[in-house]
Amino acid sequence: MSKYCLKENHVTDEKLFNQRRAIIKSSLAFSLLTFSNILFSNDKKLIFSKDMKYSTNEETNTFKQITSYNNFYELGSGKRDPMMNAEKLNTDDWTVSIGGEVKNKVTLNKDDFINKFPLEERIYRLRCVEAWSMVVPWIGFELNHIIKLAEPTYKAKFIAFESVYDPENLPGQKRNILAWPYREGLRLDEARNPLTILSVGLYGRMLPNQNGSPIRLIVPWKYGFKSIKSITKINFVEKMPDTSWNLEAPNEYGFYSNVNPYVSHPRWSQKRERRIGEFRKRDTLMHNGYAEHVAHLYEGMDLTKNF
Amino acid sequence: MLNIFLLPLAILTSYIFLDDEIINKTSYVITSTGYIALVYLVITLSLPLLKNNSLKVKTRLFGISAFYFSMIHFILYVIDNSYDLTLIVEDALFRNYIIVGYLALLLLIPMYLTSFKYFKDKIKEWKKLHKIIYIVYFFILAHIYFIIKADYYYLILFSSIFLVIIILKKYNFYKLNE
Repeated sequence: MSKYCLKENHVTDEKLFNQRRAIIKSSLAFSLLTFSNILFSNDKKLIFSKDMKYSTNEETNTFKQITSYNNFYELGSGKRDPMMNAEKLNTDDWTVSIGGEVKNKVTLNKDDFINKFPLEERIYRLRCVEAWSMVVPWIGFELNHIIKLAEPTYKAKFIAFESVYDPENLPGQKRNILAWPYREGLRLDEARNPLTILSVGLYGRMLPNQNGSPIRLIVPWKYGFKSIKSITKINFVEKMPDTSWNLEAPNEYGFYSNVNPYVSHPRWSQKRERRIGEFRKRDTLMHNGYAEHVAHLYEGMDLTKNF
Repeated sequence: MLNIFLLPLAILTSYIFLDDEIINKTSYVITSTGYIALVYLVITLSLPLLKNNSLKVKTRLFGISAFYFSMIHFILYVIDNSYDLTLIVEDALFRNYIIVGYLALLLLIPMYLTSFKYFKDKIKEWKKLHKIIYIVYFFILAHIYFIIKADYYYLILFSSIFLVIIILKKYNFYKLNE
């Protein structure tokens, strides 16, 4: 007998052989799945359409740039801190309560924001008050959808937003760097502008924690700090609400905080900005280049006073 | 000089080229060189407090390195804005953090020059002159104060260090031990 011959009883039954394969495959798949879940807990892919009307065709900043250079003081005041401390923001069981001067008071959870509203990709410029900027492919929906859902009464003139408050876990909230919880606001007509969106993702995926997971505001014609992250409360109010940066330094950060190269920050110029990744600074545009969509909102207002 | 000035400079340069997690590189080098200069100033002020006087030579080297790092800090700022001179002029006239920065830098120059023998021989009172280091330190604290948005952590840290150094010098602790 040659050495290549096998006895019948040494051969694995084909059925068994296939079963073994299946077990190996499924266990491999299972371990890969759990592994990837650990690695990319926020990695759920989103279904969205691409907006052409408001999106810029400028080159977008990389995912790495957008997710490792952030101002999110709740997670630390250094630019890298939010990325390093990202896991300290717990977004499980997240709810956002919508109330105030509205007909329908509602509370929405994380999944509602992904499932209930038509998501679209909006590629916007983001201009930080610190004179740097990025181009970000946000995934989100117009704030208008929330306004329609809540049905504000005639009394509602402004929307007040409030961010997460968790001093036990958020390192930045252990000290009084800012008036916690972080607060922001918009005039109702600003909120209704189609440029104003609530974002749940970027680059087609759910927002990483450092970018304001699970839901944040994006107001592209205003300085970045107006685009409040990790929202927990949306209140429709009659009077102009307090905002955290305005409480910190009222002469430096006004309620409107529209991007405006002609009104400098009291301590530095706003004429130019560094687009992250570029060496030469570029000119800052009025309303961050969105004047055609928003300039009418401020007609007749003295923008040097209403900064 | 090699260890004190060139080594941190080399490390910083390698960071900029090798660490791709530094997103805003220009801002990173400008800030780092500023803080290195300040830390060196702290060392320059603290070394004479030590009992062991054999470190005297090194004190001078730290002082000189602090000057070099402030110069790099300043030159990088100029390069960063060089294509718009109006911006530099506007900064120098209207921006407080820039004005006190210039003041600190200007006051460092006479101290730098009189750390060389040629000028030491010419200006016999050079030791008295070097007391302006306290004014320089104060201007640097103001420089930081005027640029902070909300988090005063580092300002408080370096102000406290300054206060401790002044108190220790005032009570001449080190001289009693000599």
